[in-house]
Amino acid sequence: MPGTPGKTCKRILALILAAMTLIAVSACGKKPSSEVVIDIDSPSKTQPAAAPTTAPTEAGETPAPETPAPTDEPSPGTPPAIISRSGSYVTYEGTNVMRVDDRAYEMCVYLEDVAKQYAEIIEAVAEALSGRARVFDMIIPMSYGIMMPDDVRPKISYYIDMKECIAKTYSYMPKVNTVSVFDTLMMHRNEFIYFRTDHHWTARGAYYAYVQLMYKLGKTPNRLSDYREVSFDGFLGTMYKDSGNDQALLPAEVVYAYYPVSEGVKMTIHASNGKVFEYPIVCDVTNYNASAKYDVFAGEDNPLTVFTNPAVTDGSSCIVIKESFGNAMMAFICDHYSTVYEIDYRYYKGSIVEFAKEHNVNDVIFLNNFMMISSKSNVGKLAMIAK
Amino acid sequence: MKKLLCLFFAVLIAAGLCACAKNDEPFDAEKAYARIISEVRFEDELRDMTDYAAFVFGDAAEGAEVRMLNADDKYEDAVIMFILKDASDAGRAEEAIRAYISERKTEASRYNPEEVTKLEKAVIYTNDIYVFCVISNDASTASKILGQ
Repeated sequence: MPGTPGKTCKRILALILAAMTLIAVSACGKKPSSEVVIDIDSPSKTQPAAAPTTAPTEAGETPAPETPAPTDEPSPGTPPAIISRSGSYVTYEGTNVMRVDDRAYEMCVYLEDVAKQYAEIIEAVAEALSGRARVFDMIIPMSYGIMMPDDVRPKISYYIDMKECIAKTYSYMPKVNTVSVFDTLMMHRNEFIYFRTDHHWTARGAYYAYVQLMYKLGKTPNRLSDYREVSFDGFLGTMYKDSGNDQALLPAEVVYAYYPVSEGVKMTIHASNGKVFEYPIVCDVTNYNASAKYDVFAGEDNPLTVFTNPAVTDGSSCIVIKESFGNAMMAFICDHYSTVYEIDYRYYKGSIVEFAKEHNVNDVIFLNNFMMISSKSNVGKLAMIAK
Repeated sequence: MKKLLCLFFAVLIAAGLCACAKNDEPFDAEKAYARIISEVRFEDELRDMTDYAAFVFGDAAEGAEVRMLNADDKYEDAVIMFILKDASDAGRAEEAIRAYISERKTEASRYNPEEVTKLEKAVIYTNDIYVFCVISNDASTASKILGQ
């Protein structure tokens, strides 16, 4: 039986209401289309491509002689060969660290556009200080470029020519006195110039680079035998941790440090918290954690550290702009100036150019490691103080 | 009975529309930015790093404004906000942020290992032309503010 017109009307009304309800509820369930939630653990394009992984190998790269004769001249010639025992490498997931035998390496990338920005910053400082101070730049190779065994290099598809990358970066700073140390370190690659478990170089590696720096500065470097040496054992560095404490990297290493030749050099730290205090240039790290033994050098990383050398009375001074690699070189450099201002660009807040003018320094020396020049976040920090 | 049914549907519609009105409220990026700064716990005072952001993120998205607040020295705490010219640039902005975080993780693992976790927990949120990144141990508060 058909309903009355009133009943039909009510039914239609109820149907419309039901449809509207459904539409309203359905529309509310939608999320804004522009919202994107990022998985923060996704691999970044700035990291090296995933490397092939081989089975872990037995430890044992040819041990370097601990006391080679000191060399204070550039060493042209063929670098000593390094051949691995295993002929292969191991990578550690989620890190940019790899291992060959008992030595770990930080895999390096070269981002030319960032390195060019780095070079332009140094060039700008040289221009700003033209006629006032000389500007030097040393790009410090990583062990990946120097110590990688000759037989393993060709097996790494993404292996870069670090020497060529450094040369290319130097080509972007024609007004700067560039200091090439790649060949020098290659000539000493069979010595203990880089740690096996840590990403830094050793004081011996820093010494050989210092020699080249002094030649470029027109100064006479000291001989390694001139320095008083001290050592601390039990060092297991950053890459040991990155490896998940891979036992193949054992045994722990010895950290050697050298006191300045000059007597009475004082080091004053201007810390981030505003405190100013004297501190030993070579710190006793005997009781430090195994991972912290690199702290032996020059009071670690601080915005400003000042070295005053009463043995140099000519009033000469320089600024060294560095990250932690520079720490191992400070005990050598401070022998050659009345005052050395060491600035860690990551923590310093002022202007290098203004500082150089204010203190009338003779030389401005940039000591930066190869990884830094491709790190936009770090090059950006340098840019902030290079005004 | 039918009257009751009609009333029930009417209430449902009203409730549905009301809820919709709430969800469709446009995202107020400035308000969110201000709330993040005032409500999220950071380990150190944040300072304006807009110049630094221009260097690091300047070529990520053409014409974008990038704001950045960063803790001093050894803390990685930060607030980054991209205001893009075009929402289609959001992917590039996110990529630049991820690259930044990746670099900072490498740096932190070397010098401040305790900061690595903080970087891993970083909140990245995109809404239309706005891309946010908050690096803090208090990431959950940032997520709440951003409606995640």
